[in-house]
Amino acid sequence: MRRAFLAGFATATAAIMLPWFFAIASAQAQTFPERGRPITLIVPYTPGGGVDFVARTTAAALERELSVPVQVANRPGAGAQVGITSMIRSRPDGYTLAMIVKPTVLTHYLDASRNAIYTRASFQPIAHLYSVSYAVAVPANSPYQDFRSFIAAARANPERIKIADAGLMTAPHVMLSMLERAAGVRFAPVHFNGGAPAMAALLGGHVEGMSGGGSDFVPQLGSGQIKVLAVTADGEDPLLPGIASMRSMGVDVLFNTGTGIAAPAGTPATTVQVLEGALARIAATEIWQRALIGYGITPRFMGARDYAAFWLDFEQRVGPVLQAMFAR
Amino acid sequence: MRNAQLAAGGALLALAAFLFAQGQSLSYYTPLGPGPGFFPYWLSGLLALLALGIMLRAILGPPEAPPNEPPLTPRVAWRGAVAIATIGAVALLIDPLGFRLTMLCMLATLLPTLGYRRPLGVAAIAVAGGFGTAELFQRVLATPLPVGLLGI
Amino acid sequence: MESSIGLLLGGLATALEPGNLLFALIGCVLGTLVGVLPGLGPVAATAMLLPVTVGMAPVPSIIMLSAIYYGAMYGGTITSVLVNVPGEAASAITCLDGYQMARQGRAGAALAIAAIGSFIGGTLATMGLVLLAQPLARLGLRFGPPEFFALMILGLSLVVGLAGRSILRTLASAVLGLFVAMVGIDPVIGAQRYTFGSLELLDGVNVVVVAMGLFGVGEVLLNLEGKPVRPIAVSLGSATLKRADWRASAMPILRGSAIGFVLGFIPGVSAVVSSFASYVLERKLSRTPDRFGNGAIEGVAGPETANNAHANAALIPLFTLGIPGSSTVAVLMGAFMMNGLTPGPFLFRDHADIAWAVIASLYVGNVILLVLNLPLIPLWASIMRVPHAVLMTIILALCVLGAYTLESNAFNVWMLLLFGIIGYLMRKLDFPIAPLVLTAVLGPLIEQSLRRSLEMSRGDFSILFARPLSLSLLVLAALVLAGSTVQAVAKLRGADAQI
Repeated sequence: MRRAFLAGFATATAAIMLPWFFAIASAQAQTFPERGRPITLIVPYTPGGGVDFVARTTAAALERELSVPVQVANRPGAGAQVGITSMIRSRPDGYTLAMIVKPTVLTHYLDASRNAIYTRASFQPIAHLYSVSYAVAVPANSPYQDFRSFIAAARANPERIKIADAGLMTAPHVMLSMLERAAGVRFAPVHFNGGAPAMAALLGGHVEGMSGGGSDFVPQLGSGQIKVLAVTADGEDPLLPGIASMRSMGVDVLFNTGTGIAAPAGTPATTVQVLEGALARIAATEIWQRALIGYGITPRFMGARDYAAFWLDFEQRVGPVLQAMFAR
Repeated sequence: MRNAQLAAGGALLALAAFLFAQGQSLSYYTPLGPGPGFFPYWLSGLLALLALGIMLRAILGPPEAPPNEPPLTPRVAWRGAVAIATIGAVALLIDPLGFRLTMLCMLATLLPTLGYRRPLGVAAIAVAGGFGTAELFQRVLATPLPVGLLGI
Repeated sequence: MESSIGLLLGGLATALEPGNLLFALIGCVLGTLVGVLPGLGPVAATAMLLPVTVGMAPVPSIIMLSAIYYGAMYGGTITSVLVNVPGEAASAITCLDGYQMARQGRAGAALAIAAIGSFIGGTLATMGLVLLAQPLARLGLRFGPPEFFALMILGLSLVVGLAGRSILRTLASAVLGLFVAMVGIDPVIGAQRYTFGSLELLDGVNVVVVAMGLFGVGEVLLNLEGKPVRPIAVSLGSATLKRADWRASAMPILRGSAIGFVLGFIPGVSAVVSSFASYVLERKLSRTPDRFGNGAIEGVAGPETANNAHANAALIPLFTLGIPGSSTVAVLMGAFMMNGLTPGPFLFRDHADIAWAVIASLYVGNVILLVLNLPLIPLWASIMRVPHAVLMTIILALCVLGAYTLESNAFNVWMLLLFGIIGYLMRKLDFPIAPLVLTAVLGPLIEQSLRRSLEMSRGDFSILFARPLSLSLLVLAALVLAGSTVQAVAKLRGADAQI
């Protein structure tokens, strides 16, 4: 019995030592991607959300484009910090990528108490895939039938208008804080656990309004149960046609969260180019675009350079809002 | 059973004290109601009371019949220790060594230790559990299990 | 109402087309496979196969996804009964009596009653969905944060009904579960609580790992003797249900259907509450409550039925309001959207044929699962014949596999080990395990809904009592608590006077 255990242990020890030899043997790198060497795309969330869906759809296309296996690995935890940390810790060789969502990633490295091992400089942006713009909505029979009267009511009754959002520090909550700052009002945010429970509370009349992503509103807007007052896009949100932006109504809120693919900083430029080019070709295909739009996601492709610029701009605009929210 | 319950009560009391101390840094109340430290405060108090109750019951109450469970023999203790150590080893090795080899070693260690020693049977189960499961996950469920430094 | 049934029959005709049946069959097999390999669970299984259905027509793709869902749920039951490893928190309660039945050589009976109960629960819930969807959905919407809080408190009051020989140890187990639930970023201000500087603990402890450790690993650590103390004798003849089994299970199945249905159509209520509530109710109503925990067939029939009725009723808010009531339903909603179908009240107006075909196919999924599984039960049950050492090793391997694949994270294997050891100690010291699992699930829901209620009232607690529905639920909880305590104390006085 003891001998059996020791034998198992010895096997294990031998197996740990072996990789050294292999690692030395394959140190000579070839062009990217090496044939048959799999690329791992980390999704820092559990399976089942929009990010996961886009990752799986894109990975399947990337596999055909590059002729190497592309595996999706769900590494949820700590509001995506676990999965992003494991990507940042991996070798910057292009074989480990991750789906990165803004503003989530900013809430990691701008909040000192989270001890994130990364900042913006730790990432090599590769391609931005899609954007989500946000909106505020009220029940169809609400006394506030337009955005201006809604804001006026919030101004007259500070901290009285109850607004459902998807949870503490989620994008709808961040948007609500930006709206409060821009319009000089105070709402009473009620933090739900995701968009669906927030919508249930809105329809049930437990809150006066809801802050959420465009696709959160599509079913109920179509059936006339709710009224969407304003969107945070620069113009119109394609998911919510005909609804004016907050900017056009004199409240300066511009808030598009973005999801893209990034690698650890230090990834060779040629490798970045290969991945960026492949993703650009995928994003141009109709089948990829149709799959995303069907799911309620608006594609918005950007190459590595534009993505990096967008990231910086986003951090400069939204960062101060987040800092103020942490301090509270 | 009496001494065991006394020890259990004591351990729970210590745990309650630890949880109480850890919860001290959290704010007890916020303008809108209980803060993150509210429930740790009251529940560690409740746990301490329950622990004291369990200890009192063990000292003052009539003796309890032990639950109908298998006895702890030296052999069971050894097997338990190996099982615990094996799971710990899996946690350490699964990422560097990959799923296949780790599961193979786990099965090859546990089967004989727990009393199944037919060499062919052990080999078959270990290979099926390590490589077969990984194939299943990979091909049918499209879920990659970790590949180690060896490339398997 | 007449027309609803007519439309449903039309949908049934679509769902029964050979091609669609084939997809339902594939889905059931895949789902059962996923369920038997713990960790992935129904949500992950449906989500991972969602992109596969991109090119498919709406009816077959939704049929396949829902079949995967049902299959995965039943797969979780199989492991709970045979090897005491709950694949999801809702089937943890099935371990209590299902596994004991298996040890007494009655695995077949446990699996059969679970399949039949699930089928009946699913059937009744589907009927409810067809006939009563609109009024029920409106009722479900009345559950705002205060009502939800009161409902969860009612769930918490079930803990006393799970009491073993000692109320003190039961309550201590429940409080430990609440502490497990508090680990992570708190829902109030986002502070880190009991995370001890660990990144992995920021999202809290995964309840499935807790249940697998406490039940699966804990049980193995207890049974490491070569010869099990209680003999495992399996004869395939025992796979059939005896007349006494039917008599014992009939009412639990009906009551379980009702509980699961009622709790299922309220968006956001965990199926764990349904299955635990059914178990506690059956134990309360039983003339021989001592059989519970020792292989009572009612303890399998009720919760398994409730679990499936809950899953079916969770579709009501999706079809009527466009709100997914659970995370698996959210994945199904993704499948709807991808096919250009927007769930909600207009689904029946704009795409009546597809909507009814989908509802019918959900039902067909239930039927196929039953037809597929009943003949396979002797095969599943025969795993109890493998040598004891092999079975124990398989249980540990399944637990490790499940813990790892849950979040692709070795950290969860450590948590599995920790809770395995805790589970072993709790058994040795006669602390009941089920209360810990229940409160670990309820804890975050209670704290979050309390916070939400106070966010609504700007810190005024009277919101919890001023609303009639919330007040009545709280009063009910108090009554359940008082009743169970009196009953438990009286029983213990009578037996060997333990408090």
